[in-house]
Amino acid sequence: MSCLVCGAQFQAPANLIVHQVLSCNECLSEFEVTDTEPLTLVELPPNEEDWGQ
Amino acid sequence: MVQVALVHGIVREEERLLLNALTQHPVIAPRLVHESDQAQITPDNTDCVLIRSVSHHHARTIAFMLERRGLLVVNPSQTIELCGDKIRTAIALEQGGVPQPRFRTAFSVDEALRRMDEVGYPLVLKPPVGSWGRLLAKVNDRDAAEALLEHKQVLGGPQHHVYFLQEYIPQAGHDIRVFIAGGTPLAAIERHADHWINNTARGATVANRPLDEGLRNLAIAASAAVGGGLLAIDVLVSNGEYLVNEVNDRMEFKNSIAPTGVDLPQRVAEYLVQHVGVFV
Repeated sequence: MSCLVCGAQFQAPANLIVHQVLSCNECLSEFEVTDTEPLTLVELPPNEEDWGQ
Repeated sequence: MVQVALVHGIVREEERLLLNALTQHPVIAPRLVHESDQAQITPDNTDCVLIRSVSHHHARTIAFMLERRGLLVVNPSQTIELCGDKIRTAIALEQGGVPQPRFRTAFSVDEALRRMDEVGYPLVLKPPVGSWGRLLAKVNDRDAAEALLEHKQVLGGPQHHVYFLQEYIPQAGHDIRVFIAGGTPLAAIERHADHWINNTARGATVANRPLDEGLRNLAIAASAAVGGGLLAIDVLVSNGEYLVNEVNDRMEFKNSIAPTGVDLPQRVAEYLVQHVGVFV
């Protein structure tokens, strides 16, 4: 598939799950899978202030 | 079979690894439930809920709602509340007699400056809620303190007008994170970085850290102080003494499996089964 930001090609892993996070190897942009059939991605919003550990 | 609902927002590698481990466990029937579908979870279709929301506010709210519906939630909402707010964590650790860096709280700029003078420079100014090292400030002197506090007061929302100040503990290039489940330490890592913030989300590298008796005892005490469960306890070393820096209730662990050789997702699955068994 093509990166939505830089256009680079990258391989989606097998057995994708809706809401899974993917990242472009070239520009490191991150995307969220919103559908698997057909594969649909949206750019992940910036990290929220209360995310992560 | 133990019906486990894994509640998630975005699905990171950690959630994938957990789902795989839960699926492979012989007595667990797992399913993924997005946060927006949490209303589908009931005591009739679920024995245990594993909260894996990346957002602290989502996690604590969903955990609370599910508990009120009679569900067994890991971690409990009270533990999420305590761990997700550094001031609450510090108070819980203090009440539990767990060693930690000296800290102060303040609710105005003037008070914060007075407390900073008490703690002494350099010190660390942290937002009560936040992770991945965001908005941490190492404050080296009073001039920097005045500027930072003015910025927070003018530009920040109400949550940034609650100040958490911590003694700065210089580290020899790394801090320590201990993984613990149900009061049993599982593994520990060192997080190495050139920066004073040692966070893998900011590029810190990971090495195994053997669990010595001091680390085990500290982790057990910290876990008890916040109510137990599945936790990652961040530890600093000061003059040979271990101090608890923070406690994480929905820890990230993808970079810790290989160096420690411990299958952390599998240990989570085993903990859930044990926990349900104890609870029922």
